[in-house]
Amino acid sequence: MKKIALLLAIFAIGLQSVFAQTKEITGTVTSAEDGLSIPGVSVSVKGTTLGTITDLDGQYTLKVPQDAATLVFSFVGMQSQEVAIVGTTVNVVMESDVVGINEVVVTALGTSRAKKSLGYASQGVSSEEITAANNISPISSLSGKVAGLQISGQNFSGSQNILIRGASSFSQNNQPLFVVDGVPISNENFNTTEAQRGGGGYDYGSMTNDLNSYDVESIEVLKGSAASALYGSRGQNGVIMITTKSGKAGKKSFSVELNSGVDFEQVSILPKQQRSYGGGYGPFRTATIDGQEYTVVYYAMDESWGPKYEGQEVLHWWGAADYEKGITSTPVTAPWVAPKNDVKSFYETGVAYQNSLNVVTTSEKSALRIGYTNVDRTGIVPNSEQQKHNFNINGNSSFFDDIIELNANVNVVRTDTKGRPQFGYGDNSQSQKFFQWGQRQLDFDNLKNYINPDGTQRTWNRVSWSNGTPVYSDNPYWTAYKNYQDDDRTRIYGKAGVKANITDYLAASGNFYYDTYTFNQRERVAKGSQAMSSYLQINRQDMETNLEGKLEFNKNIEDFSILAMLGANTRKNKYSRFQGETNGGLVVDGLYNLNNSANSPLLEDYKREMKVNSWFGSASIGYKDMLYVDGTYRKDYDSSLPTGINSYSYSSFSASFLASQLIEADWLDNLKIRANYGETGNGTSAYQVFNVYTIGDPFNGNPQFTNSARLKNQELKPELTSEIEFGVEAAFLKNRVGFDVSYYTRDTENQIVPIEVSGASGYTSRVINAGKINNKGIEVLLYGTPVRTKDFSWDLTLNFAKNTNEVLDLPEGLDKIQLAAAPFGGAYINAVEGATFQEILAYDFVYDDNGNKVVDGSGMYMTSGELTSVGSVLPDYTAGIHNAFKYKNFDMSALIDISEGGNYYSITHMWGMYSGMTAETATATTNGNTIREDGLVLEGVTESGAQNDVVLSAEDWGAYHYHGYGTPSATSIFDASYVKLREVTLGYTFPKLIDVVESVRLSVYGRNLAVWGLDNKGIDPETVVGGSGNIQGLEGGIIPSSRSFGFNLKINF
Amino acid sequence: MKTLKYITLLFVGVLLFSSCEVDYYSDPNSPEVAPTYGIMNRVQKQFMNDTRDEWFAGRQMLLWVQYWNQVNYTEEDRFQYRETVNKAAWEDIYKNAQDLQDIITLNTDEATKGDMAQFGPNVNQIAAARIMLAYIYLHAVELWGDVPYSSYGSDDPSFQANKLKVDGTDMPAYAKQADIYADMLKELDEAQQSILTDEKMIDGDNFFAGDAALWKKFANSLRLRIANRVKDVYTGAQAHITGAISAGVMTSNADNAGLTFEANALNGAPMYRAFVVSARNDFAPSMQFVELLQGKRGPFGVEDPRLDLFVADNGDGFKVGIPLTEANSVVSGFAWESMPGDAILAPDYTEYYMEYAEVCFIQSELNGWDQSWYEKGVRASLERWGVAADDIDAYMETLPAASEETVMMQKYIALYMQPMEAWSEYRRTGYPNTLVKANTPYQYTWPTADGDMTQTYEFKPIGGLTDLPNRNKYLLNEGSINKENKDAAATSIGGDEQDTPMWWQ
Repeated sequence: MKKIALLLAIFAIGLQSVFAQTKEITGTVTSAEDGLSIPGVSVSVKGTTLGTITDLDGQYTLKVPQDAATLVFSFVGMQSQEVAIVGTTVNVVMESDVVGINEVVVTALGTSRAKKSLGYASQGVSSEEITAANNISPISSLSGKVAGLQISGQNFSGSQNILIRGASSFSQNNQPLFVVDGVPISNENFNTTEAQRGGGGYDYGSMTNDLNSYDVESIEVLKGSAASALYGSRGQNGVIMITTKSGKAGKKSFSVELNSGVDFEQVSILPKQQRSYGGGYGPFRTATIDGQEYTVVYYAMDESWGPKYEGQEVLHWWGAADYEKGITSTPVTAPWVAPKNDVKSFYETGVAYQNSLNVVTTSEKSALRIGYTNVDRTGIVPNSEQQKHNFNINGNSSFFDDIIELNANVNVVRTDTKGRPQFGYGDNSQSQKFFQWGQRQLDFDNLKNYINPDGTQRTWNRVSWSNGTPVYSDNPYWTAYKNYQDDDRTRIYGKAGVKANITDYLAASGNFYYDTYTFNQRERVAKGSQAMSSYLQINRQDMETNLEGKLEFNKNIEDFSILAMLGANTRKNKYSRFQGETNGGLVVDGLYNLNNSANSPLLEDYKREMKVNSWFGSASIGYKDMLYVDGTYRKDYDSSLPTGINSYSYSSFSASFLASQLIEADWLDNLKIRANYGETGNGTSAYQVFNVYTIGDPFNGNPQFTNSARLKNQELKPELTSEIEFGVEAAFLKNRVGFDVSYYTRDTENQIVPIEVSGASGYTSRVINAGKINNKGIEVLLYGTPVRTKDFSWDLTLNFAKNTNEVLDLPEGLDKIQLAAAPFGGAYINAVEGATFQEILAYDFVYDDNGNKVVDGSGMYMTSGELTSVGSVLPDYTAGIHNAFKYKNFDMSALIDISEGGNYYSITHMWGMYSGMTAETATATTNGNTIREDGLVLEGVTESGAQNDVVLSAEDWGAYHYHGYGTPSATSIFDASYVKLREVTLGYTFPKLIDVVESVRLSVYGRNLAVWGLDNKGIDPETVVGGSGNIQGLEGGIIPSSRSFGFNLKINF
Repeated sequence: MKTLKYITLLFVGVLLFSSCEVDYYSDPNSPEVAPTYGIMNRVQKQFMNDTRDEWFAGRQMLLWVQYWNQVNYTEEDRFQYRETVNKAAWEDIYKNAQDLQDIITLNTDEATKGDMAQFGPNVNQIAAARIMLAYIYLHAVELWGDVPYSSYGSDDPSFQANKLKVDGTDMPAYAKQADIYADMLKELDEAQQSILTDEKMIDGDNFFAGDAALWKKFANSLRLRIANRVKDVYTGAQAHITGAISAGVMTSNADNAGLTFEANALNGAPMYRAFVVSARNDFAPSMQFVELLQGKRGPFGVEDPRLDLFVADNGDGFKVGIPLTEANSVVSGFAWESMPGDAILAPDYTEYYMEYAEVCFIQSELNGWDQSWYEKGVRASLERWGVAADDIDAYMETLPAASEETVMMQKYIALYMQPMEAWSEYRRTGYPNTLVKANTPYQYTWPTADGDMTQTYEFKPIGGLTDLPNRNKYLLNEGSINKENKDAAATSIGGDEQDTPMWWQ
């Protein structure tokens, strides 16, 4: 915070001189509705970011440059006004705004359009909403704010799974296209399939994590095919259009905005674990050490079916370790008790400092914005940290009497991350060691000392009292401090464009868009770990360029307005990955370099290149601001398909009718009916058409070649989505109440599907075009202002989206397609004909006719022994409830995010039960006993229909959670519903303090503060997300859910 | 300003109407045609990685024939195999077969056969692929029974495996065991006849460095193994037995078909990779096998000189096998077990496809448990494990006379680390007879630093089995994607159970 204070001081002094030539304007803002004054109205000098807000009495005072001509007044729910500066007093009467009616939104390919003219649904989110809770990622901050946009996944710069109107493609990607100021940016996910299915790995996160919340002006979500059809083969999953902040030319001005925040992150949800029994299996062992008999723990076992805590004096692992290493001369024993510092104490409070500085300078013909944001944070896992620098320059200028306009935008992002936690079922996955396998009596204070004096590892999971070699588990602190990963990414994206205004209705423009990054990853396993030491390095480079030319026509002829466009684009993608891994361990300890490999390191070289040429056109005709008809067409030529059969076209039609133009009614502000049809596609990725041989590492001096497991297809076509959408928008009572409702139904056909074939065919899958998925649903946005008085206002926004996903058709002879298998084969994600695209198939319980679970002679639930669907991963509906309150200078808001339905499979639960770690394995019975002493009788009936009365031992009950015993795996299936208090903010805007400071706002916020409705109380369903692909719903070892809170200071000069 | 406008218009016009067509970009990472010797090199190594690794061998085959038991988890010891292992075995077998089919295609196709001839005459390469195919398909047919099968020399319409690439068959029918065995024998015969023995077989050959004469012996030895297995149910077998021997089977350890791994982590032997690289110490030599080698059980009565190679000393300096028990909690309480010997876990271990000792034992059997073939077999095994000559002679002195029991028991010991073949021979003959019986409590006494310990254990198989399984059930995956064919096969073999007998049982 010291740094920030210093910065402030520098600016306070430095800026004095800049504003020397100013005059002071004062005035009062009142409401046309009731004549009362309005506090909190933003007053700014047009073309600059100079501004202030009105005080409690609706009055303001603003120093403006001598040559300032116009003031802009804006307030939520009111129509913005521009008023010429005449004299030194400017009073304004503000009218209620009819939301949306005069709004201008950014549509496909960057065309700005009046929202009223759109024949499709489009929902925007403003800069204020994005930064309200100081979310580092603008994409994460959209969660719960847009109807039909589903965002899940949260951890240390991890992956988000983002779906617009559900998932429609079997192929590996259902993520929308991200476009920043016209630049299509990569959102590739580099998590391995193994990591995504829960098999263990690091979450390298979504590439959109490079975006900076504080640079974002607004985000527009193009949901339907008609909205995104102009993106052709990339538009299938919708488009998220991001507009960044820029200066507006017109007047000479200079302004500065400073944001400074600090954020605290704490672990919030951990699996519930028992605290009555320690590690091992059965009774203690004894050992004779130096002639003395000791009670020893079964160190080598990574389960917790050991003795009950009764204060018995035992030789704990650390006592054995200290004695083995000569630290103590005799073995030191200690009581057998529940740990004082349990798993939770391993997690730290993550702290993030976020500082952002933006400078805007404008002149009559030019504008320039320079922004810099810095994030410096630590995570909840020890030794995790991240530094992120975002640098943005955005400039535009016009020449030759405004005939030529130039604009350029450069973003440079550098991210250095260390210690991303491993998740899933992996060697270095702390959760796997904490919640799936381990000993419950471990005190984390003892574990903190993870290195012996001789440099070897000091872990609890010893072979025996005399042998400290790790059996299965490394000390978690050893994992955190020795076996950590790190990565860095440098990314540059932006554009350069020129526009020529040939006549007042015809303009030509050329734009060059680029997005390039290098992403380097390093993973380590230190010498002395349970696994063989290793070092892995991956260097990735990616580049996308787009060269686009457009001719735009915009003219009103009598009652008709015509907007037409013709353009062409050529896109090139070039990607390369170079990967090296040590082989046979490291030679020198602690030296992480490929040259330090015991044997020749393993190298992998991969390149990918694609080119897509396109041309496109669109036309929109409006009649009397009342009826609009649109059409678009795009044709793509794709180098990833065989020459000659590689072009596809997409078109859309839409219409909107503003009925309110015909109805003269006081209470009706807006009524719009819209309808559209659109087509979009999803191209193939490179090299999917011709079979090749995979090259293996040389063996005995000869190369190795083999077929890949998937047979490719020379007749592959892009997928095709066609969608019909209807919608109604309305606003009533001076905009106090309004709604926007959409209904859509979309079919995705010609799916590029890798279908499973019999392994005996020589391949395990083949790629074909087949299958049809339908998504249909409704989206509702409801808003209203229940209370609005002089001092107090309450705004309420509700959004709701229900999407129904159905697999209508699968390739001949198939009734399901497997998308993923959980580790250990207890659950499989399948697209099932007649059901959803992401059904979980598992070994289900057997139910009798009355719906009772059937139990066999051992007292355990029976399983049908066949994989059957136990539910879908996909939620039934999602909703968001946003309340915003304003009282004088205070404002407060709360966002509740709801996801209902859906399921996931939990390996953490399965092994946690198997190993006696979870609380359930020590459920209390009577007389202070637990099921470990008394056993348990499962709720169910026998095959003959009688009530089950067979007593099952706790050990067997636990073990039977592993389906390998021919028992149901449905015991580890959970409902994924949740209700989250996603964001709470409380802000105060200070009355004007000193002249140079235009406004100061201090806010306190919290994210993910509370959660309700969890089926498994110890697992946040959002943490199940292992990547942004189609492999969802499989939890193999979580990174625990966290909550954040902090405060943020925003100062405008 | 006018000119500027026209320039802009022209520029945009050119951009808009320049050709949109693009050409296909081919894959810069992998070739569309691969050299056959690289494929053969891969298959020879990969098949051992697939079938002699910690999964298929460690968590199934070595346990079933009780060479090893697991130290913590008893499920697989008790015949509850993992479905993932079952599926991997199926997919691995046919994937390797696919690569071999490609060797045949690349040596047949006019566009490529000329190029490929530089790695060996086309006809020899095709023969090598056919021999390897028989070896690999034998695993499938002996693991499940009726299975999809493919043949180079036969156009039997029921042979539909590995045909997706050529004719689009993605749901192959299951061929009958009788047809498969007959065809494998025919394939091996035709292949061995076609070999040009004075030219090289194929480059990239890890068995015989391309020596075609040795390939011929391998083909006939394999033919002998298969014919011997089915001789009681297949009348044509006798002709193959005679034919194989007269065409030439292995005659010494120099003829053994083995694959030696490299002494490093990447290309090291599968068990080295499991125990050392991945630090999985989940398996240990079984009580029954250790006692057999110690002469405490079985017909031999003396310590086998291979014991030291097969089994390491435990921490107290004893060789102690791990008992076969009824539950994880019981076995995990046993803390005295010995690990496999260094010879077994060496990175440059040689995994044998087939060896001379087996050929000797088969010939002993075929000649009414012949003493001299029996002795040759025992000696061959001892020699190939590197037992010192004096120890060999001493052991040979103590050897009881050849009989069905002694020959089959020696064959079991010789087949250590080739558990698939040992299992097939158990199913055919009932030997070894030293395995722990199911559901029968037994006493086990073992040495410790504090003197002998004795405890009673019981081996309780999962799933109601009372003897070793006869087969794996068909994979669940086939049941969901190739159900019709799988169901037909299940009916044909008399049920899809672990105790459904093989055709030749």
